[in-house]
Amino acid sequence: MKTIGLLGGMSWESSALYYRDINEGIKKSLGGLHSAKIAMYSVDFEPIEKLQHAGDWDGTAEILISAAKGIEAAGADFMLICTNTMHEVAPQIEKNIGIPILHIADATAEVIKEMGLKTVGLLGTAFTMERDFYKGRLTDKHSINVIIPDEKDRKIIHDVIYQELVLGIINDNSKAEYHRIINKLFDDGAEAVILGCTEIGMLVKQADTDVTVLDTTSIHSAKAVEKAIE
Amino acid sequence: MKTIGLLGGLSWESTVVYYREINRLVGKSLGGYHSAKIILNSLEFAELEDMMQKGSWPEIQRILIEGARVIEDAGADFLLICSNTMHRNEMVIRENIDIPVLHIADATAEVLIRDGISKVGLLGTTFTMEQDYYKGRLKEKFGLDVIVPPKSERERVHAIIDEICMGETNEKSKADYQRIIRNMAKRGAEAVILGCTEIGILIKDGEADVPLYDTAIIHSQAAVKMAIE
Repeated sequence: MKTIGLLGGMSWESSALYYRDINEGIKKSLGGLHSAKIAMYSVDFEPIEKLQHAGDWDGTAEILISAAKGIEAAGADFMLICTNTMHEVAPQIEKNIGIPILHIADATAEVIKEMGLKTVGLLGTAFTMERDFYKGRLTDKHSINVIIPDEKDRKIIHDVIYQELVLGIINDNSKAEYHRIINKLFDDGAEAVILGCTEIGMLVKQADTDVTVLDTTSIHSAKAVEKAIE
Repeated sequence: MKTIGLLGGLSWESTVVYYREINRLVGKSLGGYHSAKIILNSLEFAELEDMMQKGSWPEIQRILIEGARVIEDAGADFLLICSNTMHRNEMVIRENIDIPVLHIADATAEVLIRDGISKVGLLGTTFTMEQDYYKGRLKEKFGLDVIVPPKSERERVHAIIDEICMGETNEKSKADYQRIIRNMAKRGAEAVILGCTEIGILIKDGEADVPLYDTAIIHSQAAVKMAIE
């Protein structure tokens, strides 16, 4: 079994889900008391969040490269960045380490293609919905059409992530807003909606909606399990 | 803030408790979006469990030492072994790394002494309840009077831990723990140590006749104190 590297803490709430999902996945595949071999580096989110909102991506890359080197030193065979947003700096991190990164957008794209879908909606932080590292990768590398909410709704999605979910707060009004926006994306032609922020799965569950939602945390974790035991 | 090293996966269910509690407390102490700096090396438990059953302690020690070294190499400032039972190997791990190890029995004893408790019951794996690495340390280093359940109850306590490691929590097992705790209280235990990091998943303080000291939580609290002091 390979050792899975996790670059986490962004936020820690979703890293805890990764850790749980991956161990559950290994238990399901191998049975008994089997658990995953994991090397996790969990960073302090405060400086990362400040740098994100100041637009200083190089600053965030510096912190994450150092953590990624720690994960490599700890013996990981490959690495997951446990957040969609920080995939912005995935190329810089990858350049500085000797192990491969299992990209969250690639893992998600594979599932979308397996399902035979052509057009998907994307929810995430403003960074993920608006910048090219994620949407662009889905479109250019995987030929998937991506639609995002309008500016006002993007702000709602983003603010709920940073003001509630990252702090572990689950709010019913926010949940209703998320479902309104998911339905709107569906009406605009999305065949499924990517929950493209590892925190969103805490608020939106498949059981609560008729629209197919793709939880990137569980998709990413499942791919890691597959890769670790192949 | 110091970087906390966690040697985990022993089992992973209790490592989740450590990871959540440490981050929650750092967030509470420092505010904002702060979270803990943690390096976690989570080991494959089935391998170790198999070796424990066979009594292959030298092999277990080799794996734990290697696991601890890796955490040191990754940049941790100090180390927690996230399991009471594996503290049996604490000394040999400590001798093979340069960063300090925060011992789970020391963290627990300090809280018991602070709370004015002198006679305490101990629940854990049979290893922890019967051998000296834990009980002995509480007695000799901290002067605590430690009592454990009789043999048949010890076997039941251990079997229930195996259930929790598999992710099972059932009411009958919880009731058995309550009964075994009551028996120790009758023998004079003022409190009971949940001396296996899994037990707190099944039974919590307030659910038994005497106060319960959850070692996973106490160990996490001590780690946060050490990280931000």
